[in-house]
Amino acid sequence: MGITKERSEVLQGTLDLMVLKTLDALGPLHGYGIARRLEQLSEEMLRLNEGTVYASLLRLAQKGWIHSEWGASDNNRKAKYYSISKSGRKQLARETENWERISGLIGRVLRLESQG
Amino acid sequence: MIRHRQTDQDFDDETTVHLEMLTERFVAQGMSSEEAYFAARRQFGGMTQMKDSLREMRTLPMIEAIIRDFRNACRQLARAKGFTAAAALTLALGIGASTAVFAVLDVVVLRPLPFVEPDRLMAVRSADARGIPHQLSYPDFFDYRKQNQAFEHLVSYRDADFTLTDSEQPTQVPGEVVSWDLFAMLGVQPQHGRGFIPQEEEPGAHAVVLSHSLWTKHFGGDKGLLGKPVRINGGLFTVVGVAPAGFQFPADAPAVELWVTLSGDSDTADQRGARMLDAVGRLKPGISPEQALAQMDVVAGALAQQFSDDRNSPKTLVQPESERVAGGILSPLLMLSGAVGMLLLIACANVANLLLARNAERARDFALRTALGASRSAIVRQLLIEGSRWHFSERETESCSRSSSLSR
Repeated sequence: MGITKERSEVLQGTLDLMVLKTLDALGPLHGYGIARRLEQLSEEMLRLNEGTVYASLLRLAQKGWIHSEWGASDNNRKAKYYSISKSGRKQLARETENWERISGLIGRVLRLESQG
Repeated sequence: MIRHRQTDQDFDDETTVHLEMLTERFVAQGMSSEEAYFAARRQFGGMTQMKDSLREMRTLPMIEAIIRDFRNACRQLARAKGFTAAAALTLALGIGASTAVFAVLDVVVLRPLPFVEPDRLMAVRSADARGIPHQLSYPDFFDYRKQNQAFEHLVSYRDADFTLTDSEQPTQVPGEVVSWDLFAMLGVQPQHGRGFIPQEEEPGAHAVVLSHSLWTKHFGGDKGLLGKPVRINGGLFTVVGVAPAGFQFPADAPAVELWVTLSGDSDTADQRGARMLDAVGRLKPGISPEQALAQMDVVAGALAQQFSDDRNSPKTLVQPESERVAGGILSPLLMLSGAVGMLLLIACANVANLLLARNAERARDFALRTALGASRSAIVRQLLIEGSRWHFSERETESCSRSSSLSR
């Protein structure tokens, strides 16, 4: 398959995080809407297999980080709308904090090297 | 299964809409509808593969989680051998004791007597003015039998020992002296021959019904014995019947080997003070035990008035025969059951305490798991599975060591 299990898990995790962030920032969206926003954020990953967003949504739903509800789209089509849950927001906050800590650490390390 | 179909349907609906919108987008970008159709599907990705993997994602985690928790619980058990042993022993004790006591309870109390409609059989005793019961005398019994309105049959019985004097070696066997309608009342048909007839109560009549075991062991199962005399207590008794195998009367005297009529008791038949009998009767249809008691009290009361002596029996005691049979050990048995039930409860509480103490140590472990993203339900599930493991501990420790050695 070319891609190892860990790598695909990392990609999955990243994708999940992006979906979560999208829902947090832009409010309730259906699968198509999320795919469009993600396309803007990461052309590389979702050029093909746009449908993987649904796998991501399922993972997030299983962890309880998102809720879903049937509703009507712009064209009055029946679509499922996803929104972030309270625990999802907490998770996002945790991840953000984590990322900022790590990037801060790396930033300091890099600054250190250039001074030497 | 049904939930699967529903979520499959949901997914179909979602993806259909998704593809429609994607197709429209491509058309808006200038493609023909046919080109747009295929482009949309290409962009979306493999549909069937996606559906399969989503279905897997839905079911596997739960099963995997349970299996994983189970094996972890196994490993934990194997590691904490002392603790495991203590908990297993406690539970084994509690469960074992309860099972034993309830098995006895079941046999003694909860099984009905092996007679026709056993709940209609009532033990009848006479009682003094305070209601304290005692045995009946023959005159009392005959009067009860004649005057009562509550019972279809009323049968007297008393234990007696008999000596079979037909062979060189006299054999002592326990027997029962009964009134004629014993078998009729119980609804039991002798395996060979018949029960007694009323005439066989007359003095001078000597009829005997043999138990099945006596007939086979002592008399060789000889069918020709029916109607023939046998020597009992030095006299001749005609064998009128053989009871079915396994038949016991009274229900709490299993060793009785023969039944004779009360004709032999003619010397005590008129001694109202000679209290040596027990009685059991079958209620008439539609009569309740309470009605029977009230009725018998009337009979006894009238008799007491008529034959006043210093040992009156103005009352009776009517209780279900099954209760009388179980009665001796019923109360202590119930107490024992209660005690053992408590024992089981305490055993469970002890194991719960042990687990609680252990889990207090693991608080940090759980905090770490939660931080890593385990939901509360996942942790609860792990603990539930660990807890339930205890109940299968003995057998499982074997299979556990087998499976953990395999996984290595």
